[in-house]
Amino acid sequence: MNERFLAAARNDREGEWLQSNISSLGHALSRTKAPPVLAVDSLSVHYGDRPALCDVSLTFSAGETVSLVGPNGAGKSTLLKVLAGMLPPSHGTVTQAGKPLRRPHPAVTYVPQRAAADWLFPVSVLDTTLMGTAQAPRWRPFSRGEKGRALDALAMVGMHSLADVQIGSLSGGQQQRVFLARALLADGAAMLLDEPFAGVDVPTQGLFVDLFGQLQRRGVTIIYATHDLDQAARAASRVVLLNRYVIGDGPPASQLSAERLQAAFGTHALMGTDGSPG
Amino acid sequence: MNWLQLSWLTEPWQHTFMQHAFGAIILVGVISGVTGVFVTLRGLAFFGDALAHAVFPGIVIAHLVGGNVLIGALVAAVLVSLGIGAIGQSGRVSNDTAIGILFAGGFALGVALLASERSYTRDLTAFLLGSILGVTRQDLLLTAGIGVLVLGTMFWFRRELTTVAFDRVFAQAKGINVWLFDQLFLVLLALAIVVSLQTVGNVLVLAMLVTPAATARLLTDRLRVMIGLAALIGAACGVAGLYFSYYRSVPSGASVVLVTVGVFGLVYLFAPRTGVVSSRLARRVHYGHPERDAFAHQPEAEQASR
Repeated sequence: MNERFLAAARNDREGEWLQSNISSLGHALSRTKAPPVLAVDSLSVHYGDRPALCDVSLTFSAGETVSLVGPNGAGKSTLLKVLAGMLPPSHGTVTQAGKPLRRPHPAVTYVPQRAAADWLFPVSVLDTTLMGTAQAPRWRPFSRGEKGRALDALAMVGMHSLADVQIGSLSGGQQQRVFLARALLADGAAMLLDEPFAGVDVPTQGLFVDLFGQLQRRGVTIIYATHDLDQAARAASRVVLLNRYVIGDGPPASQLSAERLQAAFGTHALMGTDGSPG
Repeated sequence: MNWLQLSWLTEPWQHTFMQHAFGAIILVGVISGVTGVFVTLRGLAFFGDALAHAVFPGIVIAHLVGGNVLIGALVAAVLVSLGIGAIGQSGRVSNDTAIGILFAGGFALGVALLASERSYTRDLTAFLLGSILGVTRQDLLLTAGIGVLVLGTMFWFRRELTTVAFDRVFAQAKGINVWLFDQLFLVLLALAIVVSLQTVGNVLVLAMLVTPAATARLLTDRLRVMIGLAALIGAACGVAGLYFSYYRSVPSGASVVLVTVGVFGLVYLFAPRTGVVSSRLARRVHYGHPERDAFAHQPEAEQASR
């Protein structure tokens, strides 16, 4: 509560400062004073000859929840990997808090697709979460404090009671919750999630939407890829329509309209999304 | 021999060569057991086998020019693993095909080189099946040294190695150099294989890497416990195998591997939770009282046990 109050006060002060200096630009610019948490400028990525992203320019500010929407192969995952510093751009620049991003940065947390992990691996839910611990000395096991923080993160996603269970014995939604807890532990300024809603049960989806709201209020930038238009409309404050190029960018209501989606997905895909837009 | 007097347990230890052999097999059991955990978890069994065969020309060349056999084997192992990576990256030949090509090619080169030697047959047999009774004190010290190096490195980088094995994409996102840790592990694997060659031989080294780790996996869902168990099983089966070899005049490598595989078979059938027989028995008991179980079923518990 106190934190939120302080943040609001800070915003006001920035606003005053701006208004007194550049009065014509108004309050709307107050956010642009600090460098964006993440930004890409004229970004292109090629896999061999095949272009995955062309001329993408986007900025992401603190406290935004952005959903990247587009069909398969639209470059959503590629964009997330570039923003995470895992994939170097073929052209253009990536910046994190105003500085060029060339390799993964601790302030940016990435939650991979669930399919990427080896679920038969003999680790417990707690062990998996502890992998998110930033820097623990090599010579000792994880301390009680570090384990406590991991358990707190698990409690936030409602997985506290299953901390000792082998990770592979969980359901898809539970596994995704553990991945989210692992990301929470890193406590970054930005969280990037690749298809967090894929194969996840309805209660978990609701939990994620709530959690994104909490993080947003703490000023964390959340960017997630999805092809689920319902989730894009529910959880995000901004939708970026992507199909190699940026097709659209704005609040969900303006972006999830029939014409926009047709431009992003093409006619065939739109038939499957009947009723969802708007 | 009177089996009840237990003197049979101490008798082999009266010979120096048997003391050395026991020391060597315990070391090899522990080193291969621990390394093997990551081999099995990452599905590198075929790769390990290939590496074991492909170090052959390195050893032969070192032997012919009078150089250090260990260094020869290591150079060959690194070259082969890089070669597999390069061929596998071409996009048209899959990784395991690349392994197959270099595996057989390396081994054939070794045989061809060794054929120029007069003691060809003896050397080939020693290489293929090991010569544990010829382990010297110096060999033992070298094995121990390499063991400390391999296990120490794995301990130091345990978090990176685990994260890379479990979730490569996350490891990459965390800033872990995945390629570097892959290479590091391959070098450690090559070292573990090379020190095992003298004890169990080239053909059977894979069993020491894979079987104790697989047995341990059947018994636990915890990586730490699995590593400890694999080391223990590797060493214990090694010792038991040597006894068997001593009294039954079975070649030591074969004897050790047979014991290891036998233990795996027993665990596979009778492990408390995962055993084929024991879980079937447990299920029979379980479904004996469906009306009672109906109340015990909680949705969360059901998901957790799946």
